[in-house]
Amino acid sequence: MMYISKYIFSLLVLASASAFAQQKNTDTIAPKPKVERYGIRVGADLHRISRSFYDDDFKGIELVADYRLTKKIYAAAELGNTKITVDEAQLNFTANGNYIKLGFNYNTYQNWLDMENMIYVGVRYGFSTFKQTLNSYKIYQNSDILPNDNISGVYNYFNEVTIYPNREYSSLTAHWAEIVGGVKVELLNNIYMGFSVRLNIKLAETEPDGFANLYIPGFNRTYDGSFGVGFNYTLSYFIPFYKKQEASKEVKKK
Amino acid sequence: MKRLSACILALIAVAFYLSSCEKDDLCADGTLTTPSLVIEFYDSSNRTEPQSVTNLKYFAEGRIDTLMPGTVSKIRVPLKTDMLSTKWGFIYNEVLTSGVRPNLDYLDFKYIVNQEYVSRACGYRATFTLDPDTDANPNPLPSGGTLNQWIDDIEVMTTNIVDEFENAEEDENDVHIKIYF
Repeated sequence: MMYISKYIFSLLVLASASAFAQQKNTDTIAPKPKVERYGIRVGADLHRISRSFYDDDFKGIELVADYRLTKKIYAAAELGNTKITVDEAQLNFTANGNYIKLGFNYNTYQNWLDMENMIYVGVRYGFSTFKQTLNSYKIYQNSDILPNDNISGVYNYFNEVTIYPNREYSSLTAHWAEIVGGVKVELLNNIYMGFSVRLNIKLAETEPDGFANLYIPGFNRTYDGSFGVGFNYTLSYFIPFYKKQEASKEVKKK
Repeated sequence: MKRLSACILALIAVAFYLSSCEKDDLCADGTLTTPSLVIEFYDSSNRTEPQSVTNLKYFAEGRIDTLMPGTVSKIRVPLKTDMLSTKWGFIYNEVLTSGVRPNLDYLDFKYIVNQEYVSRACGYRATFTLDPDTDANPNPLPSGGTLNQWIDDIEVMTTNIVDEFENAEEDENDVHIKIYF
C-alpha cells in the first residue's frame, strides 16, 4: 500500500507540474521554425536517496542519463548501487551490489513550440553483480500430526528453530530486460523532473547453491521467479551540445 | 497519444498487480517441508496385518504436550531439527479384566539432520537420515517404563526421511517404521 500511495503521489505531482508548464504558451500565434536542442541529461533518483535516509535497511543510489539521438529517440542509462536487508517470515537476508541498465527511450509526446517534455516508452538491458548474505532462517515445520485434529494453520510440536548462519553467497550475477514507461517535465530552465515505472523480466542468473536470488539490485524483489517491478523519481540537469532546426512541413511537401 | 497513455497505464497496472499479489508470501499447503516420521503399528502374531492401538498417546521426552490421536494404526512423529536424537514415549492402554493399564515404552531415534532451501515463503526445511540399525546399536533404541515393554519388534523400512506423505493414513507403502506389538 505504501508503494501504491507513493506512485499516485508521484503521478499527481508530475501531472500538476506538466499542467503548469503548459500554461505559459497558450496565446502564441505565429509559428516559427522549431529549434530542437540536443545534448545529455544527467541526474539522480530522489526516491533511492531519500529512502536511504528514512529506511535503516536500505542504502542505495541510482544515477540516470539520457542522450538525444534523433528527434524522438534517446539513448538512456541507469547506474546504481543497492544494499538492502529484507526480513521475510521465514528468513532474513541482505542483498548488496551494483547494476547498470542500458537502452532507449522513445518520446511520444508532441511538444508545443520550444517545450521539451517527454512521455516515453523504453526498453533496457539490465545487468547486476551482487552478493547475498543469509542472516537467519527458520526450519519450516508443520507437524500437523493428528489425522482428525482441530489444529488449523502451522503447528510446531517442537519449538521453532531459528538458525543464524551469516552465510555469504558472492559473485552472483543477473541479466534482465525492462519495459519502461515514464514522463519527464522541464520544471525550470534545463532542470527536469521525471518518473518512470518498469516491468523487469529476468533472462539469466547465477543461482546460489542452497539459496535463491530473492532480491537483485536494480531488478528488485523477484516475483514468481522471473519478474520484477521498479520505479524511479528523478531530478536531472540538461547540458545542451548543439541545436538543430527542424525542417518545416512546407519544405517537406516540395 | 491516447493509445500510448493507455499502454503506460496498463504497464503501471501490471506493476501494481505483481507488487501487490501475495502469492508467494505464504508457505502454501502441500509444499514439501520438514517431514515427520510415519510409523505404522502391526500385529506381532500376524506381521502383515496393521493393528490399531486403542487410545494411543505419545509425547517427546521433555515436552508437556501429549498427542492423543485416538485409536489409530498409523501416526506421524516429528523429530527435533536442532538435535541429533529425539526420544518419544508411546503409551499403550492395555485392556485387562480389571480395567485398563497404561504401558509406556520409549523409542530413542538417532539421525543426521540435512537442511535444504525451499522457497522465500517457506524458508528452509530439514530432512533426516536415520543412523543404521545394528544389533550392537539399535536405532531406534527401545526402553521400557516400569512395566514390560509392549513393543515386541521394530522394523525400519527406510532410513531416508525425506517425504512427508500426503495420504499417509491411507497408503500403506508410505511408512518409515513398522512397530509390532
